[in-house]
Parts: sequence; C-alpha cells; structure tokens
Amino acid sequence: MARNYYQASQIVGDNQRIAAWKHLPPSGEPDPAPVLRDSSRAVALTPEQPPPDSDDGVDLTLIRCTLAMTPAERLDFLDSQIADIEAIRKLNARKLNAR
Amino acid sequence: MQGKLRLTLQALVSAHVDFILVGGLAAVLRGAPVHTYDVDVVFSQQPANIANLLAALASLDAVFRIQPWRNIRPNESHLLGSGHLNLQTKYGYLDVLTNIGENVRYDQLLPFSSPMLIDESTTIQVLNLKTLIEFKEQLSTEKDRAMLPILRRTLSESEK
Repeated sequence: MARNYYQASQIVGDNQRIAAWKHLPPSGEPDPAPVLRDSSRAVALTPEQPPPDSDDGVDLTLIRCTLAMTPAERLDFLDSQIADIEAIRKLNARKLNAR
Repeated sequence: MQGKLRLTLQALVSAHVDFILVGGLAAVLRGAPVHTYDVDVVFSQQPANIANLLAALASLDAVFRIQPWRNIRPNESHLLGSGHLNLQTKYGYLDVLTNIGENVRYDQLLPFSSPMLIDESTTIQVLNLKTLIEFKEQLSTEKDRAMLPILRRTLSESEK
C-alpha cells in the first residue's frame, strides 16, 4: 500500500513523535511499516492521523497497538513483560546482595 | 517458554474448571494497555466444578498468600463459601472469587462474558469490557478508579 512519508520534524510535535516510538514492534521483528525512530528520519504519520491522546490524557496509541493484537498475543506480551521485570529484579537483587 | 499467566489459565482449563476471567487480566485480553501480575477468576460453585477446581489448585501448588509460609491449602469449605481466595501458586498470584461486585456470581456473569482463544487449542470465558467497567465503577478503591479512563477509552476505540 502506498504511504505518504514526511519529515517528522516538519509535521509532528513531540507527543506524536513519542507516539511513533510506541508503534514500534518488539525487537527482532521486522517493522510492518517504516515508522522511524527520531526526528531526523521520516515517519509514517499522515496529516489525517488520529490524535495520540484523549482529552483525559489516555494514550490512545497504546490502545490502538493492543487492539491490533489477538488476545493470545496480548497475553504473550504481558507475560513477556512480567518475565523481563522479574529478570531485572533478580539481577538487581543479586547485585545488592553482592555489595 | 510458556508465560506464567498462560500456564495458570491452562491449568484451570486442563482440569475442566468452569470459570470467568475478570479483573486486570480480562482487561488486558480485551485490549486495554494495563499491567497486572495476578489472575482473577470467578468460578462456578457447582459440586463437580469445586472438585475440578480443587484438583487444579493442587496441580498449581496453591496456598493462601496472606501467610504463604504456613502452606495453608484451599479446601472444599473455602470454595463453597462466599469470599475471595487470594492464592499464591507455582506460577504466581491467583485470586479465586466466588463473586464480584454486589455478590454477582458465576451464573449471573456468564451472559456478560464471551470465549477467547489464549492459544491454538485453549479457550477461556472472559468478562466483557463494558461489564468490567461497570464493576470497576461500583468499586470505590483508588486503584480501580485509576484504571477507568483507560478501560473506557479502550471500549470506545474497540467499537470504532
């Protein structure tokens, strides 16, 4: 599908750049679209892109990302986050104990 | 490697437990970008299901987490009561609930849930997001109120 690409610094503010970050797939997976990582590179945001946050401050980009997953993928995502957090806690506990 | 949340749910399904997933993990499966560490389920208190649930809890090495060092295991009388059993298992935290809200039980919740696949062969009943929001609105804890804007926005985005 053809996409319009713009220089991020020209069309988006800080919030939208952050939103573009949050659209990145997990590491190791190919990008589904060339959504790029900083303002010096192009992003796949278009002028008709919906707003990244709701009026009450909820990050709609995260909601759209999770809604795009299947329930099984949502469960995998949360399970992997918990595993990562546990690993970091264990690593830091070992370091604290070693002091 | 399987995640602990999935392994907990699979243990319940393997033991043929009739349950409805509620709470934060239900919100996650419904698409809400929230974080939770425990599995909350409302279970049927039919005698056969109590037996199946006890078998599942035994397979999970479940003990009450208020004093885990005492290794108090849930028994039939606990499950036939009317409260919440906050358990610790070999895969993490599992809250086994006889009811939610104002004494709403499994049979009453079932019409407000629907099946979801959590892997290629495992289906579980998950409370609908709209109903989950209604229960959270009834609760007065700060934690529940804090989650409400995200749940409401998830519902509205999912209906677009």
